[in-house]
Amino acid sequence: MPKIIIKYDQTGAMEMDGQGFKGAACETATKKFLSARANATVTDDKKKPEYFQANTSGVGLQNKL
Amino acid sequence: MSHNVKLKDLAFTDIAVVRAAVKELAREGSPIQLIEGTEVTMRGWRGAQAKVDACIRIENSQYDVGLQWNAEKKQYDVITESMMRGELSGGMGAAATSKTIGGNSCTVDWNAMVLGRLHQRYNIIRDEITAARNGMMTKRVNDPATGIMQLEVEVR
Repeated sequence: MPKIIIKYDQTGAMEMDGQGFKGAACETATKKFLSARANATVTDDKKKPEYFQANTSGVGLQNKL
Repeated sequence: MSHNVKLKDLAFTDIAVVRAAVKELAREGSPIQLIEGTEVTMRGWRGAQAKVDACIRIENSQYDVGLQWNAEKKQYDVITESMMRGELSGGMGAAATSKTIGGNSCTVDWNAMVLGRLHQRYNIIRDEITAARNGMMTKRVNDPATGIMQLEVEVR
């Protein structure tokens, strides 16, 4: 099952990492957590090679429905 | 892994989550309490005081940390003792307090340390709420060695 791993340090910073996703499904899932943090500063935003692969896990389909 | 995002400058926006984070830390033994009400006064240097919406009181600290709602930014501004003195640091918890550790007298940024833990706890609770609202299962993993907290979110 795809996972988002979120790490929180003691300076108030955090890092979100999608694991097991293919395609843009990860971005859709992380957006749920990012949308409530409009005032925060994004220091890094990297799309991994898997992001550009077709989604075959069904998560993307679920999101489209 | 398809996407990696790093964020900083995360602000307090929900007082109910601040309340929950303070409760959690206090239950674990952190010397912290949240003071709320219509007339909240935070303590500053040499008896200086300021009216704020809420205040975080930390045991062993001479100063409080104030929370003041900023309607424009839709977040709580964190007011520290040095800000009350007009020395705007831009950082959180700049009020330093002398504290003795291990027999050696040293100065630590006690407020900043506790406030950092509060920020961390606030963020994890907030994400647990977001996950629950979206039907996602979560699991906390703490690393006492590094102080980093981790939340594993299963996306269905």
